[in-house]
Amino acid sequence: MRDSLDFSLLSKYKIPHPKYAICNSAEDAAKSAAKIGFPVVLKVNSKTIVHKSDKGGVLLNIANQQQLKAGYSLLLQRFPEIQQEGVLVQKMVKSQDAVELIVGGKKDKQFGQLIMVGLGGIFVETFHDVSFRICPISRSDAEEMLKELKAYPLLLGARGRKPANISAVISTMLRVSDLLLAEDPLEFDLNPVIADDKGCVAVDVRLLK
Amino acid sequence: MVSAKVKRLDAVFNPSSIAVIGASREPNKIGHVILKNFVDGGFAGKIYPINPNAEEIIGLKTYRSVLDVKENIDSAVIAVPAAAVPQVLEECGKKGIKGVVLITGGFSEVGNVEGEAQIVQVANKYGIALIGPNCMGVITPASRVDSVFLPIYKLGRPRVGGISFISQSGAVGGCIVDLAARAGIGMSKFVSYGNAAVIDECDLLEYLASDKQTEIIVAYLEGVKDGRKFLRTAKKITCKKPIVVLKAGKSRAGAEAAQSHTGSLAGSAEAYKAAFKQAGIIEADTLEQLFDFAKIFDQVLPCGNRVGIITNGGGMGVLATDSLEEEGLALAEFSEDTKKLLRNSLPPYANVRNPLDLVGDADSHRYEIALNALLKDENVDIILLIILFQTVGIDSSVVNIAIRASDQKKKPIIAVCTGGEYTEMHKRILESYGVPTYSSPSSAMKAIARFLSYANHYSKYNEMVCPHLIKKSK
Repeated sequence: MRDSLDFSLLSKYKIPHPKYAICNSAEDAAKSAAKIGFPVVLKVNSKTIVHKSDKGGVLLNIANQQQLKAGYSLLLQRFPEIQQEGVLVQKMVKSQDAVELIVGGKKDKQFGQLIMVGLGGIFVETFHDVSFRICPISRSDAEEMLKELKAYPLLLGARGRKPANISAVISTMLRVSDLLLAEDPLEFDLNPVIADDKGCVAVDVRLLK
Repeated sequence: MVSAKVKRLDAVFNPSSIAVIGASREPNKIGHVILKNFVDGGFAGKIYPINPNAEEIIGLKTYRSVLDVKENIDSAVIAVPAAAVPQVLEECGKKGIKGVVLITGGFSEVGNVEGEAQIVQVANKYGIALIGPNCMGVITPASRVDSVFLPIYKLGRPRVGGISFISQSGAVGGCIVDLAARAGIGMSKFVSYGNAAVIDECDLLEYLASDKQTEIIVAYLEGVKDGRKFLRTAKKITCKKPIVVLKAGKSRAGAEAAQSHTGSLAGSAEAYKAAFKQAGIIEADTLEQLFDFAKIFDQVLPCGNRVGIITNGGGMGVLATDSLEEEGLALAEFSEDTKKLLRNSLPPYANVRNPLDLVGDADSHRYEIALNALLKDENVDIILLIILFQTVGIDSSVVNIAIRASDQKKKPIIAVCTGGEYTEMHKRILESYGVPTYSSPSSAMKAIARFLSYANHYSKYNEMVCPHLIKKSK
């Protein structure tokens, strides 16, 4: 299953995410970027790579058409398959006091859909700062899950940072719980989910049927 | 609400007559031990040994089959070879026996799935509530039902109490019962439920939830048959009765092959942990914790997290404070009245701060003053009573003082006594009067933290006026 479909799934469940387009050529990417508005992110559209950024498949903060063109050729060089599978042009999410979270799911043999929330980004497996519940979850379950995280004080605005919009994070979690129960995927990742004082947006998504 | 099958479990736990099928004349045979346990244990109902090749076993008339017995039989314990089980079970059904404990192994646990299916089919045909197969038996101390095939001189039997314990493993269950008996902990029911072919863990939970003699449920699980059903069942029960679970087998299975971040972090252990939290279950990490966490419910529920510590050893007070912080509990700040009272009544070298060190020469009288002061102090929610019995000043009368304070049922009183045989003797007395005792400040604080979080859970579903006691009897 491809990212394009995964992002449309996010729209279906009203899970906030940045504007995006799937493009199969440099020209296509240029047009879409102009429509979406710079800065943008270019990502290889792959269903097999878990750690896209480790493999050089994510180019951040592209400010203009010139950088976009150069970025597209770089990705094409690294991943020739993008001619068929395409690239993802996505509005770059910029936020100063953002916390990167992960919201995910997994089908457990015994209990069915599990939902997870944790400190996200590229160090998810390193810090193991995650919390689980069985779906569906209630609002108070979601609150408890966040409070269990060591990173919870970050969301509250540690060291003079603006506190994150926790109720936006909770509503994303509740929507993911709905998505998991309805779509019943084997595995599901929203990572990172960028949470700041304004709200929270899912920047990358991965769903395995 | 409770299904007919679950209701029939009454026949297993409180029968007025019982058949021991496979009763044997050989003292080292399982069928002999079980029969002897019923006789020696003082079971008041009728006992029918069933053995086609014997006339009489330990003075009891023996029958060829349950069908040869004229009177009604409520329940049967079966300990015959696997191949003979379907026939004797069929006879139990025809006889109208409602509950069966099937000790015999050699079924699904060794791959004999057809054999087990046959048993299920016969049990369901007659509506028999069947525990097992491949189990170690059942104990109800109050009605002297004891089908556990381990001799009484080897495995201690617990006194009557409010804790019911279900165990998927017979061996683990047996050890814990033995430990609980030695520690003076009371039990309502013990069930080793084996392969759970007919009666499974959810059925037992439902039965114990509606059982008036059960106040706390303790479970040792290796897995559950239906995760979602378990979650639903347990969630309903924990609003009224606490459930403490030890889940064995925290494997990473399932997480290795994952292709996503979430998948790689979510093993079956995480799923169980999540389910326990959602169900309001108290999770134990070790065998010792199972009863450490259960026995604290002898006390009234705490109405806050402020702990007042009384000790006759300064170092133990420090250790207790360390564990208290680790578990997220608060050190109470004594009120001015308390400080004044203590200053006037204790020797000048005793420091009237929390932890309250009554000093090495403390006697029972000093403990009485301190306990009464802390019971009155509105800034104290929980009392941790550390008594080191090794000192010269302490004698056995401190036990009476602790029990009297606990009997007021105003605030939870939890005792820590660290030491050898002399200490253990006093701990058993405290325990049998409903004062939970722990060997270290850290094990006590861990139990207090679980107790408090259950109190919070309970108060969401019940009108709770402090002080509140979950247990009705002692």
